[in-house]
Amino acid sequence: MDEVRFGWIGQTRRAALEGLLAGLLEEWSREWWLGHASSQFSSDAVTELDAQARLQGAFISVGPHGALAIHVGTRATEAIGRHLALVVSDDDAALAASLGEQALNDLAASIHRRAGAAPVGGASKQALPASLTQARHGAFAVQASLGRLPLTVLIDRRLGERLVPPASAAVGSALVPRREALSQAAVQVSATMAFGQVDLAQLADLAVGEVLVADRKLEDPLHIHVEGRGVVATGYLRRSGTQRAIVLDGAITREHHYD
Amino acid sequence: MTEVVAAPIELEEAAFQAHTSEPLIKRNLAMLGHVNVKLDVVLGSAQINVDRLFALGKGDCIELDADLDAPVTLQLDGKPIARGQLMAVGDSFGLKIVEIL
Repeated sequence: MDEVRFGWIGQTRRAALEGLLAGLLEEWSREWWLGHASSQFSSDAVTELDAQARLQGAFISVGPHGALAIHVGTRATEAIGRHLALVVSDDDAALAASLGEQALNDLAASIHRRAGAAPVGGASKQALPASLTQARHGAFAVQASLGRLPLTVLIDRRLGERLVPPASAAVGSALVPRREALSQAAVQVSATMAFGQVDLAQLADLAVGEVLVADRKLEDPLHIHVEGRGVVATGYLRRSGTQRAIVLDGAITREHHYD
Repeated sequence: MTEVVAAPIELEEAAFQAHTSEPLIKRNLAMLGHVNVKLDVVLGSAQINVDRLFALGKGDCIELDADLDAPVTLQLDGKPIARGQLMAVGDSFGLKIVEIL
């Protein structure tokens, strides 16, 4: 099942989508000799009411990056074919309809190709899914007039995002080497002193006010840990103003590791 | 002279049985009174970045986040069990307990 994405497409990207689809429509109509001297394009985000009212019997084309629908009115598929083949009699209606469908398939394919992939199979008349009719699912439509031919193209959110990616996704952040990214990461170092050993009996009797004497001399080195694990260095307890401080003495190698 | 036959020991398989009886050894810490445990004292910590960590050399100073007179934490097996004031007892460190459970 196709992923359904929610939310309106922002105005900036709607304008970009309108321009892109209008350009594809113009190019397509020029290639198919439709003539569109008086073409005017307008675009609108589709509402469910609009779609249900106007777009019965749309051609739906599905590709790896999303779906689109093309609607040209109740008889206009045939009308496109009549125009292309200069057919005037009803006897050649089937030929006209076939030509019209080929033209619409080509338009659908050109939009899918712009999104980066060919459509899966040809366009076919189907019931419109919510992802193509409801603005709250991110559906978007461009309405155009090609001469006297009205035409509406609907695209779903997935296809819209492929055609006009969000700015951050389109540009992408420049990658930095891991070593460089890590250089400013904060780590916590702590200073501990191995105080010594006591037996549990002595520990059990320990009370406030008593003084526990360490096995460690005042000038014995202390241990520096990173993030509470492993000793990485030794140092001596000193002062820095009113704060405790450690002056480093040496590093601890794996061969000389304190527990 | 008696002849003794030497042969490998054959141990019986230890079959697991969920014990339903009471523990054999009562929980009495007094019987462990002679057991020695290691204590550590945490003096403080500091946040530094990775670059600085790997640039540190002998004689460099790391200022900790603890005041000179702030209590230090006494740890047993990594768990804080008491707090105290660090002091000098002769030429050794000492810890005067100010808080213990």
